[in-house]
Amino acid sequence: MADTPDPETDTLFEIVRQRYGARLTGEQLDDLRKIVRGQVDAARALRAVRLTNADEPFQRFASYRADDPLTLPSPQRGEGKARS
Amino acid sequence: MKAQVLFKPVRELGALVRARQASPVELAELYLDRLERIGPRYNAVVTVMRDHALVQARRAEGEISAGRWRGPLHGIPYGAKDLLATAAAPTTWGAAPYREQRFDFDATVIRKLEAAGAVLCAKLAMIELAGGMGYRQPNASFTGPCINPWDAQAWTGGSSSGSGAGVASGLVPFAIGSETWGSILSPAGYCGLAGLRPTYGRVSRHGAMALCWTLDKLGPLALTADDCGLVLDAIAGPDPDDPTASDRPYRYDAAGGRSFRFGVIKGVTEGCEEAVVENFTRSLETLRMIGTVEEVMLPELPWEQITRIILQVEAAAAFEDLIEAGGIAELAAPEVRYTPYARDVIFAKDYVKALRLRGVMAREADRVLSRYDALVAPGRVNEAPLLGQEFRSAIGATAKDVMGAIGNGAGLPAVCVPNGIGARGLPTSIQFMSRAWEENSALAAARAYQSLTDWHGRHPTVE
Repeated sequence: MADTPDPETDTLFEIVRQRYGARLTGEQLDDLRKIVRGQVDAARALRAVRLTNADEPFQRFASYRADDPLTLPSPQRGEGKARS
Repeated sequence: MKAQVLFKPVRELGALVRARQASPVELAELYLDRLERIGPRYNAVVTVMRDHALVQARRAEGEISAGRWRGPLHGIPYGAKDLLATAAAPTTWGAAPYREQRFDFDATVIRKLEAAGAVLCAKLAMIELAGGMGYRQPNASFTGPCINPWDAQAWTGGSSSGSGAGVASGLVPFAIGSETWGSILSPAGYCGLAGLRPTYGRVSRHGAMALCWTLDKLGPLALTADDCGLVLDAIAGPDPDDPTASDRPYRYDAAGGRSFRFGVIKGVTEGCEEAVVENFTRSLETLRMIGTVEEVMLPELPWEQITRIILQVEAAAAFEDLIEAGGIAELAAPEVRYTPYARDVIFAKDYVKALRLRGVMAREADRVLSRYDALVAPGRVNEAPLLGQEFRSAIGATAKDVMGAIGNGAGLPAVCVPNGIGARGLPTSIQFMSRAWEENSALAAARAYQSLTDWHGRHPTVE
């Protein structure tokens, strides 16, 4: 399946090639095309599952206030940065 | 001293220390010597923290002598995967571009272990950037491939590779690793150890390298499941520096004597090596001595694709600067010097679809797990891969791992312990995965299994 022609894969691979092709060998580009095809196949498997309008991302978001006990992760507060 | 303590579980070491039959300073000296002398043989160690460890060990010895015993980790040496920030040593993330990186603070896990009196002896080797760039073979760290103490031709697994090699070869009694998908269970399974992947949010990630914000978890590798429980007790809990760290209370419960209900996902051994299937089948017979074992069915869903897309996108975002600037060309594994570029073209809509399907995954997993104390499965599909070969992986879509996809995608706890020896003389393993926040169920099941078997008492010949 990975070697069969696929317009979506071709289009997405072309974006990768345009962005990074100057850094890459032909062999690496061939490998990247296979990886892009794998990503497309995985995405199609997800798209094939029907969800309802009520199925939200399983990801908690909270509005932020500096004096709220629910704080943002420390790197966003300027901590946790590397010294060098 | 050496014969008295080497390859003894943390619980026994802690009892010796408490009874002042083992000195924390002598323990530290013993393990520091092994880290320096034996560690390089396995490419297991990045930095030995001799001075730092001896300061902590002397403090522990003084406190215990004065009657101030902090608990079972007091005076016990350990190693930390080199993605945990430490002020006293570089934190390299296993990757050449970060080999000089230093932080001016300790990760929360490091601080919690210090508060428990544990003695940090070394930063341990790991797969570069915790394997999130898509490595396909073991030579994927600036410290070289981590060698399995059971067989010099075999890999330890990853990405907590040094944590696996270090405990398995008696360089430290326990170690801290991290798992995004498989990075604790893999080295634990391949090295014949107990490994605990806690529930997502059970342990603060503050100060740990971020690979995937919604998948990363920190947990212990040790000789027994019981030891993993002792360590989790010390590192679990809320943290104002990590809003995803839950304030649900956790106390390790080491009580035994109960019976269990185990589930086995239909077809879970498909793709496993023959010896893995044989040992798992024998393990199920053992488990029937302490409980019931039922086959369970999961609905047809793209389990692995859900977790894979979340991992690929979050890891690419976490290292966006490195990837786009071409810094990945400095990484050790040739394949990861370019493969992350492909992730630029995963649609945002598909990532969000994965996050929406993650809700379905979490609900389905909980529906099934609510009927059991644990789902059981082989810890790994095979014995440890050979050093010079590409390996199969679910992250790379070359192997199946429904338990790992669901366990990590839904953030569920699992314990892996050894359950036999395979055809090449390397350990095989079994995993126990429980409902969210039920680490004690998985640990109790693994502990009960270990009470009936002696695989955890077998160690490689190191010297």
